[in-house]
Amino acid sequence: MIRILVVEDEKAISDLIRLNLMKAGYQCVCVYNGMKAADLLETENFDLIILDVMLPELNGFELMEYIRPMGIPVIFLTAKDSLKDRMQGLTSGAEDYMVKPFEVVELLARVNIVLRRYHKMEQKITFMDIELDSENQVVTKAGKEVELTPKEFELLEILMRNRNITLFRERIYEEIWGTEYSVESRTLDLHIQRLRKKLNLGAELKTVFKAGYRLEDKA
Amino acid sequence: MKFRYKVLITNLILLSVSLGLVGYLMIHKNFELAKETQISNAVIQNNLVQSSVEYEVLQALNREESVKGALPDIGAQVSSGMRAENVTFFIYYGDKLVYNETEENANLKKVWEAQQEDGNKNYAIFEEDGHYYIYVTAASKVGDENLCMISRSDVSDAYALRDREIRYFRLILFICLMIESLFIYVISRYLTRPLEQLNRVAEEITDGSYETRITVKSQDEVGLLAENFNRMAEAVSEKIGELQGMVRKRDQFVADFTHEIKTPMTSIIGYADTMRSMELPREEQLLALSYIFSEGRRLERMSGKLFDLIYLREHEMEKEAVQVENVSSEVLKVVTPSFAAKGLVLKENIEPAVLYGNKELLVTVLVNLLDNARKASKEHGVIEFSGKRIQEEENPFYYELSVKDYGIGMTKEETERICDEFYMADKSRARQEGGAGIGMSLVALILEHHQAELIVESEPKKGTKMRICFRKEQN
Repeated sequence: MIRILVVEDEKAISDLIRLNLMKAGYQCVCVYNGMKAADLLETENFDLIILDVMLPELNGFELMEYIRPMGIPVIFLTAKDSLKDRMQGLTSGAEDYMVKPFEVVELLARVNIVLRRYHKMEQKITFMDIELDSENQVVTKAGKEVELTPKEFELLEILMRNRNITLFRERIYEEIWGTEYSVESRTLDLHIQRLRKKLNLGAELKTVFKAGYRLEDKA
Repeated sequence: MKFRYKVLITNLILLSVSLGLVGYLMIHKNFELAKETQISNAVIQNNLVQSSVEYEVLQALNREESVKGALPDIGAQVSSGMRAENVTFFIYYGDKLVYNETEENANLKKVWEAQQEDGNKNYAIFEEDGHYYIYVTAASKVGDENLCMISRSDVSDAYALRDREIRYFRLILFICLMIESLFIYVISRYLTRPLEQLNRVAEEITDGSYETRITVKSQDEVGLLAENFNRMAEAVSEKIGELQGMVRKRDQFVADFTHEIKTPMTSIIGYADTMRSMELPREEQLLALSYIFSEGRRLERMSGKLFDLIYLREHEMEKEAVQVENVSSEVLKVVTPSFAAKGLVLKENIEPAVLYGNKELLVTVLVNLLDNARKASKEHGVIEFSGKRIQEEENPFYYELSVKDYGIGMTKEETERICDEFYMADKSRARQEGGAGIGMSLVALILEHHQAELIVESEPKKGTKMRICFRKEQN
């Protein structure tokens, strides 16, 4: 399980990040000031740190100095969006720099990228007898490779990573096609149907009426 | 043209004109005097010649000789008896030149003719071959014939002297002017140096280094100018500093505002986005919704206070006589529930008085101060809210309202900044308490409108006392 440390003094935002990270299948620990984060880092291991800059007691840049030798990737998350701050953030050794207000989907995507860069992402996700290798873009079912289009692959990956959660159509559509979802569009439904057919997921890949889709683990 | 060259040239012109005039007059006077001496000498010589010739003519008449025949001899005799070397003379008898030592010339003729016309002793000066001669005439009667004796003296010396003097004077004038120019140049340079420095500093200031000053320490007009210039530069740099400060403050305000607004925005958008992406369990949905609600309320509160702040900045408010007791009872109504929830004890002691101000705004001020005191206090703490008249005569204040808590207090630096917009001494705690960092700037602005003073006394871990002092003349 990948462990992510969230250092953010705003309770509301901290909760928001935790909620989403947990839904995406990460383990998440939240602290609300810099000192506590440093203390925690001494005793526990993390795969990634999401770090606010303006923190009580010890600010994000100062904390970064402390984290750097540990080799843990850091994503800055801050309201400071001047060029100077961005430069300082990135030159201090952080992997990424995100400015508030941010979109949750974007945060998740960046977390994903950073983890992949550090090879901390489980490259292979399995669901029943289906195995998805995100690095090599290969899907096998019962050991046999299944041909998927890139969009179908992406769709499958999202569904597998969010198993047992109902994903709304809008969210899936926006994440894969990157444009605003329109109700008339049948593209998504079409792709779902093809996935069901290719991977024989008729029972597991459920349509949630008027909402979206859910990949359900029967066990 | 540079000022010092102007000084130099005007000085040179004036000096050469005045020196030239003086020199001319001196030389001229000298020359006149010398000439007069020469003339009188020539006249004396002529008189001598005349008397000698007349005597000899008389002798000749006595000897009954022909005057005309004897005159050349007489001339030679008189001439040899004369010791003056540069004097020659001529004798006319009737209209004939009977004795001459040098050749008759046009000048001689002219003099003789002039003599014939008016018959007096006359003189005239002529230049002949670079020499100056003075011709003096004298006339006598011998019988019916006119005897005319003309002496010619060389007066070149006077002229030569004059020419020498002129040459010498030119040389002196030239040297004087050279030395003078040098002095004037140096002096004007010395005098205009402060001006040049002034100029340089003015240029530097124009180029943006507003801190440059002049170091001229003289008591004259230039020194005064430098002093005034420095004062002006001081005023300008002060003003610029003020403006820069204002711009900085405004920039800071905008930056702070966007920062403050970003946090609730992020939460609202993020939770809403999460809710619409997936089906959440009931309790997580409630959590998300309550965050959306509370952060939305925070935005609303912020915008409300911000609106008050902007409105107050641009509008005059209506003021009237206000009973302090009424204000305090209004305030207590507002704050009592939140105080009770935290178990705080409020000790109120308000002396009745009438203030001149805006009741609603005064209530806002006090509610803000009491709210801050509540947030700073621990549970079951004590807060004192008092108002008293100031009795001392010399005190400029009339009435003092104060709020005192025994809570966490603030450092000196924090105390100084509390009235800045969005400043929160303890950010995360202030947010938990629902603050936006605008309350105190609103308080400061309202008090400014009342010409009242806010005095903050605070010590970390001991507590804070905020005093509002109302001025006498306002009430």
